[in-house]
Amino acid sequence: MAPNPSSRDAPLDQPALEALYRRLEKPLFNAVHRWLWDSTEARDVVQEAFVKLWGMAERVQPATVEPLVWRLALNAAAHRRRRRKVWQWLTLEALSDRAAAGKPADEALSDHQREAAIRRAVDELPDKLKRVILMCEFSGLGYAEIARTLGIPEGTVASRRNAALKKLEERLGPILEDGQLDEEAS
Amino acid sequence: MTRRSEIFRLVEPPPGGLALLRERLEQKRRSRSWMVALPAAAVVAAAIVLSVRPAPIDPVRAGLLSDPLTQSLGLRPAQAETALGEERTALVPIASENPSVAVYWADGLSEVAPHGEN
Repeated sequence: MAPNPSSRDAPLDQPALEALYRRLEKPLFNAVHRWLWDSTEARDVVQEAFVKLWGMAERVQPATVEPLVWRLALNAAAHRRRRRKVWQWLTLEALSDRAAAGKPADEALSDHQREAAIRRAVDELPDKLKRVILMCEFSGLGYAEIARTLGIPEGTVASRRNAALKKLEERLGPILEDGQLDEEAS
Repeated sequence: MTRRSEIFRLVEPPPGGLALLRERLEQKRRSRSWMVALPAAAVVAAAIVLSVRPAPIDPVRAGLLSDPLTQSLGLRPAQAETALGEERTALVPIASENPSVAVYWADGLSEVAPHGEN
């Protein structure tokens, strides 16, 4: 069915924004959470993205709203992460993390340690790979939409996704249970 | 549990997100209305100030008003002699610092004839 032109061209009003929030809160939260590892802060970033979107509501076309809010949220998450890294460097908070990073991977790990290992592996992904893999995992968008959202070619989305999975596999292979990370490819 | 589902396990966001978002949108709306109202209020205030600003002071009138008694009471000096000019115009002499200059307060200024003609 062809989209209704009047609704396609209509500005984003508050009920539409709230409906979008209800639909995207969880996937956005999960992606942002992999950046910050803090529920309150991740929710704050998601909300910040929606408040920014609300600020541009009159200029936004409903068709591009979803990619835009993803971009806003991921940019805000990356920005906070960088700011926090600087703060940690200044306050030497990261010393304990650095010490933990030196543990052997094949050591018997508690749940907490497994969780920490996953965090480290995801944290160590380069920013551009992390954006792609998190959008692929949580957004429910196809490669074409992710490519448009991130402003990269569609083929790059696939290659970055594979590269990210490979890096995670290398780092977490000895720790996690058996099973292919790239289940789609297997 | 597979590796992938463990790495990308879904986490529930804290409850109350939508209510918090509504609050933040309301805050933004309020701050935005202030941003619009402030310049408008400044324009209105400037218009009021300009409209109630006193007219430029006439030097003759300024001389009259500088007389301490006139200025303090807003009345004609009690000791002043009132003379009637042409067409019943009242002329009130007012103290002048310069003895060679005579200053008069003319009532009904529009109808007054030059003092020298009296």
